[in-house]
Amino acid sequence: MQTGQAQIQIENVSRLFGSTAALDDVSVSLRKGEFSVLLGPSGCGKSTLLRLIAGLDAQTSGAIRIGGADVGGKAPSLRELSMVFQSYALFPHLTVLENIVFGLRVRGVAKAERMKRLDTVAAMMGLSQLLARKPSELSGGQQQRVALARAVISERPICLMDEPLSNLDAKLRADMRVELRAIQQALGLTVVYVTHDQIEAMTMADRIIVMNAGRIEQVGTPEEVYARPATVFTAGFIGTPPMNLFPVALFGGRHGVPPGTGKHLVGLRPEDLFLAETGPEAELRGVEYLGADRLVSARLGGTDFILRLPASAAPPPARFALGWAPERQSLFDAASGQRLAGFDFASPSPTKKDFTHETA
Amino acid sequence: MNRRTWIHAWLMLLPAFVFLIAFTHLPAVTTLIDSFWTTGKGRRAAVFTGLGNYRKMLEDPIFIKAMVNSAVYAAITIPASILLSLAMALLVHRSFRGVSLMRMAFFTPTVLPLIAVANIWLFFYAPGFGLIDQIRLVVGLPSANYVGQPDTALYAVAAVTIWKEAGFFMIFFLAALQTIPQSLREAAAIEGCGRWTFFRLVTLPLIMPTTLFVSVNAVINAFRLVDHVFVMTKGGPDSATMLLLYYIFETGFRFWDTAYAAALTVVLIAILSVVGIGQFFLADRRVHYK
Ligand SMILES: Nc1ncnc2c1ncn2[C@@H]1O[C@H](COP(=O)(O)OP(=O)(O)O)[C@@H](O)[C@H]1O
Ligand SMILES: [Mg+2]
Repeated sequence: MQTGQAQIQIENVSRLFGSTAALDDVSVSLRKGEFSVLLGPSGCGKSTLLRLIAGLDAQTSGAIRIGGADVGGKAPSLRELSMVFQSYALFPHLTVLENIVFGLRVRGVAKAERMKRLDTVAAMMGLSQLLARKPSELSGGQQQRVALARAVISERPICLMDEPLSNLDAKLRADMRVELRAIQQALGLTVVYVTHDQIEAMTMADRIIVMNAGRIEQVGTPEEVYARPATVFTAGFIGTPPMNLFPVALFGGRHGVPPGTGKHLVGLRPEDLFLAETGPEAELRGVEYLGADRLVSARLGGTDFILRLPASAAPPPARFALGWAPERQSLFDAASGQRLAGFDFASPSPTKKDFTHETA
Repeated sequence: MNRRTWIHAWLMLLPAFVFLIAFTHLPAVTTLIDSFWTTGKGRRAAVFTGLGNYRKMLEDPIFIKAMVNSAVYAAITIPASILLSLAMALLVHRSFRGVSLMRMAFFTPTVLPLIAVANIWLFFYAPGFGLIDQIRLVVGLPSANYVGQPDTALYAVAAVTIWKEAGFFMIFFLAALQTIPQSLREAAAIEGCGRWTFFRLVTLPLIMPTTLFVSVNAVINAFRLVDHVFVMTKGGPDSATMLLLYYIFETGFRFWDTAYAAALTVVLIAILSVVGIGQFFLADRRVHYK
């Protein structure tokens, strides 16, 4: 499996609906054989971008390249990709078998070849016993597998998925995450996966593209996006609970935080905070017990924040001194929301430092 | 259930029951009984003739003409109105400028009374100054009297039915097309499925229940709708547009041979039942119900 090479390149793509921009000058490059996840809140333009790649919609401006070639105006079927829809888009009047080989049939693949590929794929997806059923006779999870089988049997190198797991229950979703990732690895697929669920993004992605309001906020590995959010938006969107953001005045002058007047924000994850001997004094507001740990809500100089303590430790007193891991802190410009990478400590993890966020 | 509840239940059902029996079931049964008797006239009372009225039909040239006409009329109007309505539905299913205007135009004939429609078409067909003749004259063809000629009158009447019915059936097809999710079309597009292939493999099977429903209605209407015959031809010229139902009307209410009319009615109902039931059984295997 060869990875690293750019397979899909999005170059300054915008998509306007009337005068509102669903995508606003987006540029990103997705690598071959990688599992790329488009992550962002509902309505941020993820599906729009995916549909542009698929050719189901046309961009207002900009270019999309697949395998180096500009695919502008190229029909979806000529782009050598498959797609799994959120609604599965199974043909209700066809059996599982007919649904899976539908594409091969309309492309005129010989029957013997169709059946050979079907055997392999059906076995791989655990659908061999269900081939004679209609979609309405399947559970949600089984329908999902049929949709996946239809994509896999096409043997096309790129697979686009739009929130494929969102209609499944939590347990099945967790199983399917593992399975999807395994299939992608085994077949060396280039997957572009749309979701608003950060757990899906974190667990499956080689690379996460964080989107917000039609723009790309950050492109990076799950570790990079979590540990070094490029913007205030990413800091607040990734992580449950999200990263705490403090005005710099509260911490000014300590641990390399520039003394300031509130023009900067200090970002700290709940697990990077702890009870210290000395430090700014915080006021306890509430404790949430989660089994493995406790989420402590507190307030520091008018800013509410959450810290995560192991459940084995005693709950904090009503007032306590706040400590933090300075090498994990993020510094943001309060006005632009951008990360101030110049203040980063040496990388805490072995991951490569990469703050490419391609919206300027 | 106790007695009181039963009595209440029957009391509730009573009004509907009375009307149904008085205006549907009793007449049907009486019609069937009457068809075995002769028509009573003045002092001569009705006498039982058994299948006499039915035997009479076989020797009645106008009845035979009416049967042939009805068959031809049904064979033309049913497929033509269904195909036309499906074509119109496919046309206005997409969105483009003026699509609502187009939908409304297609639907307008449906809301007009058939009597009014017939009068409009009489003007279209009018020899000399009618719309069709004016076009014929422009392209240098001689004037033609479509409604007045025995060899064209039936087709002229059939055209009105098609024009009237297609818009109505279009609504059902349009509703059926709208229920096909857009994502099916997109999934097929990614697989490289062309428009015609998609129509054949997906659209057509999915709208099959609607097609069945529409075709049953088309069959019933082919025998039921004769208003325009009254206005345009009165069964003529020379019985060229004599349809079964119109013949029943003439026999029963112009010649007052009510017993013979009753027998003709039984024939009509028998035809409709056989066709209707047959359609359901035949089509059932090919219909996809969700
Ligand atoms: N066909 C359309 N017509 C008008 N607006 C659209 C259309 N499709 C999407 N939008 C708008 O574009 C924005 C992005 O939509 P989408 O890409 O579907 O978001 P999501 O990230 O939830 O998938 C939304 O504000 C949506 O309302
Ligand atoms: Mg979406």
